[in-house]
Amino acid sequence: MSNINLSTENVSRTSASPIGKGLFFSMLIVLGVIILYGALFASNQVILSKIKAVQAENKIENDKFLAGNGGEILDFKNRSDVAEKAMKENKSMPDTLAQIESSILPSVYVNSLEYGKDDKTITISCVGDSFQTIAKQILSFKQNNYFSTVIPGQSIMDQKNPSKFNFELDLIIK
Amino acid sequence: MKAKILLIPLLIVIAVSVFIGLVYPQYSNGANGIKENYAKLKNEQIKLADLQKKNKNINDLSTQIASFADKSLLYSFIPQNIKEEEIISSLNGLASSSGLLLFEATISSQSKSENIISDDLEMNAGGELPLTEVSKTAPKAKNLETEIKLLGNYEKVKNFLISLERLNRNNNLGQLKIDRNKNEAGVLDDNLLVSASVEFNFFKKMPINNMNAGDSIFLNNKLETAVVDAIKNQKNSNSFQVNVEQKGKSNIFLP
Repeated sequence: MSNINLSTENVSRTSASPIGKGLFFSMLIVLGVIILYGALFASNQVILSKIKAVQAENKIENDKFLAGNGGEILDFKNRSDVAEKAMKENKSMPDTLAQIESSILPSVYVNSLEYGKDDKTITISCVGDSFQTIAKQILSFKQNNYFSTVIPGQSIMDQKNPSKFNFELDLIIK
Repeated sequence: MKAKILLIPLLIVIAVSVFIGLVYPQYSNGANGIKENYAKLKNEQIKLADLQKKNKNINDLSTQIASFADKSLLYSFIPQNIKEEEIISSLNGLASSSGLLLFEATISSQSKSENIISDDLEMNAGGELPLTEVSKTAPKAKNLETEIKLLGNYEKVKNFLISLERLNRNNNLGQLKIDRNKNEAGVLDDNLLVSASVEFNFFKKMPINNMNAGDSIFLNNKLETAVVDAIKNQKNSNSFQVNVEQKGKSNIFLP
């Protein structure tokens, strides 16, 4: 059977088919992705070499740090810290005795005194002339702000000498 | 024609696969992608700048320490070694200058506690604490307890305690017991019997290592000397030095 051309105009053939364009762009995408991969790989290698160089420099500086006078400086600083802490923590015993002197009544004297750093407590055994004096002495220590707490202990009249009253007090330093 | 139609989605699938399988992991894969390596580079650069700054500060601080005249005050106040002879000599010197009789002195064996930094390192053997935290721990000296017994009146005891407080070697009164003394006839006299436990300390120099790199001292270039000034002002009673003038004897039992 022979072909019959029914067209009245001269129709020209299109330059490229849509499939061909699609194929071209698809290949372009693949190529772009491969180029991107190559670029990233190369950049990563550059960064890695930079890291190695900086690490080498770091090692040199670190060796300098360990071999230099850092130890002497650190020791000076540690020693200063220890000294500062010690000076802050140490309680002054002359000050404590001065506070006791300022609060003791004329009619009372101390027989023995005991101080413990850990509980910051002064235990004093005193002698007074009456229970009234003992009460006044307790109040006198309570009025001294140097002590946070005054704990009265045993108060007892001396059997050999009824004008003597032995009593104990615990004074806790603030 | 059919093959061409199939090739397009195939290429797209290949492109997407290459992107997912190669390109993105090259950018970031959680370990050695560009993103991670760049962060690592920045980190290393910061570390380098930090070390360079610290080394510069060390040079500056070292010069300041070398020219610091009162440095020895700090090393006398917290010595590197125990120096028991200095303790006994100082206590004896202070007692006699205060007019007290020192009749007993016992230096106990040194405490087992090491400098606190060493303790922390030992405790951190399992690596629970970050090293920077360990190096920040406050240093602590070793204590040495000395028990003394003295005899004298109240004024002299006070003078002794004042001198002891001003001694240029750090000490801390741990226990103090003062009793009125009874004479040979058993009668109370003016003298007081003093028993005291005095803590002296020393601090051994610790070797520098990478863990010390985080210490704040290296962050600035100015030496902090306020503590030394305080020692100079408050602890101005010199410790009594010991010198051996003559030594050697052929019969060691000869009185």
